[in-house]
Amino acid sequence: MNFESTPTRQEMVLKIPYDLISTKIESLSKVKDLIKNAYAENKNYQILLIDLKNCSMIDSAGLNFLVSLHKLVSSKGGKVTAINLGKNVRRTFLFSRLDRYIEISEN
Amino acid sequence: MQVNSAIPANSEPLDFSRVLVVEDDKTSFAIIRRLLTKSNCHVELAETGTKALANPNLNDFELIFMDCLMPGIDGFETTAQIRDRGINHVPIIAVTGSDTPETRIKCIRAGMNDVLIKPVNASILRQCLERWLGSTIPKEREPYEQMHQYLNQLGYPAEVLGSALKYLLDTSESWSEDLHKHIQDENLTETLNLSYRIRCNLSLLGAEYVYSGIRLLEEHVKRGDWTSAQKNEISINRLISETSKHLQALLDNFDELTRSIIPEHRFGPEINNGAFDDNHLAFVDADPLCQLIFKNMRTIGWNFEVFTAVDDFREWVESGIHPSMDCILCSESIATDSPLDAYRIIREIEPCTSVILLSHFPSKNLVNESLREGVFQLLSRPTPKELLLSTIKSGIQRTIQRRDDFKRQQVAKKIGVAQQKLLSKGIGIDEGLVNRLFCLPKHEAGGDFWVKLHPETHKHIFILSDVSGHDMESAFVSAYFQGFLRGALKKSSKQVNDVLVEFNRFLCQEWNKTDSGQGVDKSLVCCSAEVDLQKQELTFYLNGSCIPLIIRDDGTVFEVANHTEIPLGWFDEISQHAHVVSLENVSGFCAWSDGIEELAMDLGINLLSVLFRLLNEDEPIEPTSSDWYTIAKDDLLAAFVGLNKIQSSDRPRPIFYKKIEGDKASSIDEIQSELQDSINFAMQNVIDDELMYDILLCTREGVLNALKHGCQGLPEKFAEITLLTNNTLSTLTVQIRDGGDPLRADLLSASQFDLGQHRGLALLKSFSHDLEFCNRTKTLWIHFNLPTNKEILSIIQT
Repeated sequence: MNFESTPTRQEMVLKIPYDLISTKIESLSKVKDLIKNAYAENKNYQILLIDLKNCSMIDSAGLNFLVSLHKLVSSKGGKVTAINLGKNVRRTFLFSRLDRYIEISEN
Repeated sequence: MQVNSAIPANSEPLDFSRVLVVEDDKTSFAIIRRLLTKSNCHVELAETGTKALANPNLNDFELIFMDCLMPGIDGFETTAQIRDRGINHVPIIAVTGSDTPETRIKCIRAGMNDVLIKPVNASILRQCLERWLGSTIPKEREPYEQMHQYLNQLGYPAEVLGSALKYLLDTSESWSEDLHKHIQDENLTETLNLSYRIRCNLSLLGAEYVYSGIRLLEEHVKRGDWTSAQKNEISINRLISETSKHLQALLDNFDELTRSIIPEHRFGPEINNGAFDDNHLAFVDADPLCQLIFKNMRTIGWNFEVFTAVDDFREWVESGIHPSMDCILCSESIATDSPLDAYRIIREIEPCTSVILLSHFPSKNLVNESLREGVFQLLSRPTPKELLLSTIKSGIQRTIQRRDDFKRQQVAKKIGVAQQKLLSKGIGIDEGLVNRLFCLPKHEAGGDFWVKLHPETHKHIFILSDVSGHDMESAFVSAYFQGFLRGALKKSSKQVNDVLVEFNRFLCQEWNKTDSGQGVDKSLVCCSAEVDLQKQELTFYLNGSCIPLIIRDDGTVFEVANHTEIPLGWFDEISQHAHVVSLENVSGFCAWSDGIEELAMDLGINLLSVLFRLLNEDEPIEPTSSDWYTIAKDDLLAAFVGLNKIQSSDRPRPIFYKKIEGDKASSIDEIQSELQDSINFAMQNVIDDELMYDILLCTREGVLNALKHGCQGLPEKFAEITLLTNNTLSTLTVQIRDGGDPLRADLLSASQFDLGQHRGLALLKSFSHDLEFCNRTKTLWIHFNLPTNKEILSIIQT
């Protein structure tokens, strides 16, 4: 999993390396700590970009995980954007209305 | 292949050459090094195959001697690895103590070029160096002496040798003229044919020194370089005319030549010893010199029928008045594209007879191709007497064995046809039951069998038996069991299980005799089902065979018994225990032999998916044309017994069933690919990517819900997944049932349960497929919206 920062644009990029499904979600729990730490160090990132290029399936646990990231980032005044969504992951986003909270970016 | 040409002891030394000796035995190495050093070789040692492979300069050696048997990586493997690295230009010579045709073939197959038999002496080693360090061979060195000593070793009797030499002398007169004409005409085929004949004929009688010159000519003409060929022709003509002189000289000194033949190499009547008197041997070769030699061998008691062409041989066999051949010697075809052309025709005419292929210059490709096509043995020419005799002898034995096998195969075919006829009686609707069967033996006849009996008007008995193995003996034991069973049930009014126990005891006794070679080494597993329409009961006896699946009216399934209740194996553990199922809400049951289970496992799909395809009467399967059938390792037998007379195509049928015990959510990851492949196999890939995603995701959510909430994550509880479709593939439904306690609510409120309350189920609801909860929320049905039939058709067509 890659966690990159580009300070000039006040952006964080989170590259999800596999499917966001319940059986794999646990291994992603430390991501939230990384984000919390980043804010604790006063790095006021405005955007968290979630790269879903390598994620071909997303289930309810995966959606919950993304919602919790949204809550965390928005409480610090930031915004979450998802990029590189596959056809089926995009459908799941739309069906579950997650796109109301997390913007889907084409780039 | 050993070279039989003899080299004069006082020949000039070879040039300095780098040679690697791979040998674990120090004494052997010391001997071979001494001999090689005398021949001006620079010798390096590798004590093991691994050390040889680690040598960075393998490419630079001119020759490698390889001990075949070494600890660790042996000589065969070391050679194969050297060849795999693309080092093909360095000749590798096997050094072995085993002088058998099998070893030779194994060596050549591994990529070795020649074989030296231990103990290696100076003369043999010298010959080997001459052959493989070819460029250093002095070209003009006493060819007469070479031929003389070669013929002494060859050992042909005087009458054979004399006529061969005369023939060669006569025909060689026209060689130069003919070769000149073909080269002038730039006639590729004729030039190659003649050059091949010249080098083969001369090599056959020891004039190997012409070999490299003629090969050069062949390379020129194959490249279309006729100018170089013309230049080359001059030196070949010189060689031919010199050879003629030598041939004449050999004939002039013929008495002396035949006197000096080495006694142990001499072919003669005494070697025949009547060993082949009862056998019929044939020799097929288009080359006149070879024919002449074999014809003349008759004078010393070698009774070969000699054929100049394969067509003559065919005519001879098809006349029907001659006995079948016990062994056939055949030369490689030189006038056609493939050296095995003549062999293939002989194989077609005489499928059981061993064919020994003779080749002047066997390449690795020829060895491989021969092995692949079933050539009994490939021998290089001229073949040492003892090797030829022993090969013919084992060839004859093999022919007898193959004839025996062939006869058995014919009988097995008859049994197989009879089995199929009997089984076909078990198919179709009768007496209120639907009975569908798929049976395909792996070979002509099989050990799997299915029988139905109708002892009383309200009773039906079905028995699946599976005898270990899938050969004729298995077919026989299987048929015998069926007869035994029918007889016993009819005459002694015994129960099915009594008969099984008795037959089992019978086989046990036979098995115990197998040490003395007298017994039957077969085991038998069995599954019997008795349908009693009066009592409305199904009774199963299971003896190591499948655990049948009962299909409910709604298409879902359950197992007749728990795996742990069924004894493994069949010996003294045979089950006396009956499993009884009420017929209420039961639509039918499936049973199968272990070949089906193995096939499903090899395909990575669910057993029910395979059964669905095999037993779908709307789309009968043509197994022999299916790719997946070829991977089946055993006989295949699957049966469905439907208890309702009407089994419409729309009735839901199971294609996947899995019970996940305990609370391991990770199990769902493990079965996801099986789920996907099973759907694709059963539904013949009509499900598109988007719908497949929905099926997998919804099933995951449903199973997780069942495991975590329905079963409350308790290890003793379970979740069951069943996938259903119908014969026309127009529906697809997933049913997930959990083993937890039902909700403490009445059925009405449970059915109106707000799905949003269940974690994960909210997501299911947002997809556009129909959800249905029943059985107080213990059972979830998901009905997927499939493309219509028309759409399915177009997907299949595209």
